[in-house]
Amino acid sequence: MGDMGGCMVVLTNTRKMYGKNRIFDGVDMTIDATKPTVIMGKNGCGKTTLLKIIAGILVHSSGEAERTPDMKVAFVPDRFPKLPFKTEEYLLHMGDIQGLSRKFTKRQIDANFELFGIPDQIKTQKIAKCSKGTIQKINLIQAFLTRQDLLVMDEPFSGLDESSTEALIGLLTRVAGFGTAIALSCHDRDLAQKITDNVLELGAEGVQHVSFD
Amino acid sequence: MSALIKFNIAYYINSAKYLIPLLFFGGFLVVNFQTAPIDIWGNLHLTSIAIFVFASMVSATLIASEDKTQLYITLLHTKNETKYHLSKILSAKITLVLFYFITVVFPIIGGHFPRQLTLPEIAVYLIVYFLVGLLGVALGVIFTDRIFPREVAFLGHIIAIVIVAVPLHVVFSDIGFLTYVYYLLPPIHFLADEMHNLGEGTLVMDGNFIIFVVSSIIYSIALTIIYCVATSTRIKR
Repeated sequence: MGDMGGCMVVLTNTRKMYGKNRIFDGVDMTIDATKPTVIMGKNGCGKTTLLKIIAGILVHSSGEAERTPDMKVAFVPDRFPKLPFKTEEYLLHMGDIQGLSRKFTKRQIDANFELFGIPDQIKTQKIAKCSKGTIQKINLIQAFLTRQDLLVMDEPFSGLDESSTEALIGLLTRVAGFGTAIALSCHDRDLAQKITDNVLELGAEGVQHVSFD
Repeated sequence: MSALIKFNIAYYINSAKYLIPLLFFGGFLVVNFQTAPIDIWGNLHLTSIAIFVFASMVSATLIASEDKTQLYITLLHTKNETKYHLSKILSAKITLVLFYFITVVFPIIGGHFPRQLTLPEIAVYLIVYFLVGLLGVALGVIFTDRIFPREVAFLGHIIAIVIVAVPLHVVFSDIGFLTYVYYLLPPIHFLADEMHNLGEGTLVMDGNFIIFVVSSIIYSIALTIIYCVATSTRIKR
């Protein structure tokens, strides 16, 4: 692995193919902890695929994708599955798997439930029975249970109401301040601008910086 | 690892994917113990085949129970792919232990044997179940949609079970190039050879039994390695 200049992820001329279908090509970008990276682009341009490569859960087809070894990475998927668990039960499992103490995880769950305005009685409700917005909040909370080195989020604002959107922007700003690198996709230019000035547009031929001037 | 195993087993129970294997297992117990008395070693052979099939169904359905998006989340929280994949296999093995005991205790309590089993015989029953369970789990995890397309996995699993459960493997051993297929199959045939002529006699830990024990362990380790490598490669494609 070459010198990554303090970056968490470095993509160089990265291409992704599914069979003979080219998703994107020539992607050059870096993800670091200095400021969040927002990826925009049309539907089907490969944002989800690119985010999965950044998270390390998909491999690229050619070019290079260097990642800092042993990073703590959390992933917020676009469509969170309707899992057969109660919300708190699921989050406790996610905390256990990350090696967090039950006491710490419970504190984090309480704090995040309050932040996103989720009533306490939802803790004993099956995820499959929750509203779309609540499912999205559980999706977010599993990623925020502990400090991560890299946070990869696919359409994290999807399904959130205005106050939860503001809460998430505040949370992102706070974790970025603690040194967590953030890469997320978003369709809303105004929202993207509120989070960072490092906004990229993904197209078939790679990524371009978006100027808000 | 224990947190992952607890999560896997809780997920499996909550998903109700265990229902079909459980129906198979319950149905087998009821049908198999309709008659009494039953031949002690013939019963061990038959129940071993059933445990093998049940174990392969449990491991395949346990792996299929986790949603693929959740798989990515769990994988990242675990930070270690091998640990994640091994946790799936261990979860299936731990789930099965209860059923090994049930299969031993059920005919004893029901008075289905012509005489009381001795403690060493009960130990042999449990060892054999444990070993065929290892083989069943190892085979079941190979035939999942984590490695093959769903339809191919399902069909492959059925064919593998039929070849092992019905003694088609005996045919392979006699036909030229198919001899190689015979040696690629789970080594349950060593157990069959051992049980064949025992009747109500005493089991002697002879060469065949030792070969069965050693080859079962080696075979299940080999399939586990294949599963970990193949799954890791496929889910990231």
